[in-house]
Amino acid sequence: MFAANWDGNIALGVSIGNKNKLTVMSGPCMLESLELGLKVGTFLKEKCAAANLQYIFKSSFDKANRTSHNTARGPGLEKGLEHLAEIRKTLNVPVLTDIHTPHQAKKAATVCDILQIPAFLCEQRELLIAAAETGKTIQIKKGQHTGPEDVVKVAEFLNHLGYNKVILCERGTTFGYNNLVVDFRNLIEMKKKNHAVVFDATHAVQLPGAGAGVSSGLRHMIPALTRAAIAVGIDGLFMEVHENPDKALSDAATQLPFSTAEEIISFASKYQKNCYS
Amino acid sequence: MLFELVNQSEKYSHSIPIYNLGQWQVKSNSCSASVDLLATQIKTFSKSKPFGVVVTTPEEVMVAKSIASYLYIPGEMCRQADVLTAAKNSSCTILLERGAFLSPQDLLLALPKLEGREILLVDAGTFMGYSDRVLDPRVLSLLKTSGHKFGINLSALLNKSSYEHAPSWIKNDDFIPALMSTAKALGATFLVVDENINEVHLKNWNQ
Repeated sequence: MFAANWDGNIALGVSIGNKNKLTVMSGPCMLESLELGLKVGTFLKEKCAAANLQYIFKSSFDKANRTSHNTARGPGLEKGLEHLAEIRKTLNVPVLTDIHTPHQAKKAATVCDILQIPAFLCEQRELLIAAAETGKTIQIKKGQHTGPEDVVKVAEFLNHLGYNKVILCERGTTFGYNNLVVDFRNLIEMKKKNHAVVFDATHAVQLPGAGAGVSSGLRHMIPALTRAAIAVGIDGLFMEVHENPDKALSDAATQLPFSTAEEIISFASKYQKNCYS
Repeated sequence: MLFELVNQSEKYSHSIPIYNLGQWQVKSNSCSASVDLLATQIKTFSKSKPFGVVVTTPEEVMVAKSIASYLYIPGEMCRQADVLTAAKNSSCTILLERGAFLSPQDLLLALPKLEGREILLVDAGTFMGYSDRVLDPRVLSLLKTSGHKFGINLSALLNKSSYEHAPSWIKNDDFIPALMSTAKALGATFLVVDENINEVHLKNWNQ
């Protein structure tokens, strides 16, 4: 049981915090097309099922905070939610997406099971309240500039309002300009008040803005950091996967190809019982 | 020039008030919807002189733009495309704060989203650990190259963190003269403060 007596139940039989079945939240960064979403989601669902892991599909309908002003943002709210609804129905898995304004919360909640609060917006009170009012699970990305205690305070703020379906997500900490580092102490600190904690393996290796108007990243680090996070102990693993990362319209430097995603799923399955705290 | 982030009324008589309803921070247990809050509260703001409003959503920009002279976009929002686009379509002067996590070059990349507006760039410091922000002179140098006026958010630089292991010496008002001198020497033309700054220091800014 998590803080404020949340049992971790998401939807469709998926329950975060199951010590015998780690939850994997994964999919393409941007929902570039329904076809891409279904292809990636089908692959991940199969691999997670084979590895006895729980699976939640993840993708964004709108990349609202790109580094540059003239890069693609995604299908938009209406079309994106249509795609997510189709993916949910076809794959029969819960879906997660991120929201950027209170207005988007209500609409996204008609389709999605988890509403994710982006890292930059992790303390935006009205966005959090709008998300909570939907009754869906909220996943809060800890800001790169935010201390672990501050994001726990955000979770407690929601608990204080009577809302308990909260997941905290570590996605790296600013380490000088255009660089991030993973402070694994945060996985412990964020767990202090017994909230669910997820590790975002792919955003944690970003080099924000370091790619001449786009973010680049250190994809080769992801497997090792994931092993470390599982060893420390997490309730879930978040990672972005694309059938051809080099051609992805966003986060091309950090999204995982199928082969590496499979490797990580295999490792997660093998070691979750040994290392889960 | 002095901008003062206020909730109700300004403390410093010569400041330009920027009404900050705190809707973008989990610092209170208020759960009122911010668009309604702003729409209600904006009627109570003093209209005796030009004022600004902290905005965090396009809807808030719509509420504020016909009444306020300034729109203040906090650092966490400085890359939110829809907020910037809404601000661009106003006639207000935009105070765009650099996020503490953001390189100065990335802030400059956001400027085309505000094309056509008068922009005042605000540096609120650079993240240096969970308990600290530092004023990086290189950032101010780069902001100057944009051709826009710029200033510093002095209160953000001095804001005490809740991080349990924060060293006690780093947030000290004794550093205010050094911060202000640095900013002024590099070409800053305004300050952003809240009520916690001793007025004695602010008199030095105008000298």
